[in-house]
Amino acid sequence: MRQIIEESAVMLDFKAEDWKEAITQAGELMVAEGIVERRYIDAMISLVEGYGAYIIVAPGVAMPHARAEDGAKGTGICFLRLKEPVVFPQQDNNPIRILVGVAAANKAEHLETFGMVAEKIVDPECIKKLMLCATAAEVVRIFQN
Amino acid sequence: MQKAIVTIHDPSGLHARPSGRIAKEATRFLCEITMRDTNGGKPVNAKSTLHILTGKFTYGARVELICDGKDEAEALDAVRSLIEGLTE
Repeated sequence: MRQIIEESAVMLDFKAEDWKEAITQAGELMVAEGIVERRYIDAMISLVEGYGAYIIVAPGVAMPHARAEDGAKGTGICFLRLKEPVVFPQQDNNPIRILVGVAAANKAEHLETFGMVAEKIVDPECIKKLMLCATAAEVVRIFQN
Repeated sequence: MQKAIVTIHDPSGLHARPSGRIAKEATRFLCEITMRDTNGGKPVNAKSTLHILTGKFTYGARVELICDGKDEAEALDAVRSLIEGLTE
């Protein structure tokens, strides 16, 4: 398995008009990394439209993703922090500023990757640090340790 | 305290969506609810999607569900049924 996140998959202070634009940008980061096909972006948006905002896992944090068969080419994550938070459907009380996009080549790696990210962000101090990181390198260090 | 062993039937394991459904259901109850993979896992709080995700519960995992408190019997029934009913 490749390193879970590269500095090139980190973008800070992106200005998104709405949640769809935020997910699209997260998707673009993963396309650029070569871990998903472009259609994976549409699948991530469809998942939220179809199943609701269950991808919101902590205050201010969402983990957009789709299934391997929706166009995942490999396993990895991206990190997108927004300049201004966006609101997901029916989630007015939890505006989102951090999106950790997830792609996985198979079910086992999907679970493993979600678990790894969850282990980090289950700690509110970690989320605080991620909100304040000034560089991509700092973000990568948090996920690599 | 009441316990039960449940098996994960969802071929994708407990990823974000089923974890969210379990947490939502568990939060309805007053008692403490934890889940633990009997294959050497540590207990995780079933009322939190994130905590359930840290458990990395895979397809076929046998999970010990523990409810402790006022409405433990009702909680055990409800959460166990939900987990057993999870499919793709």
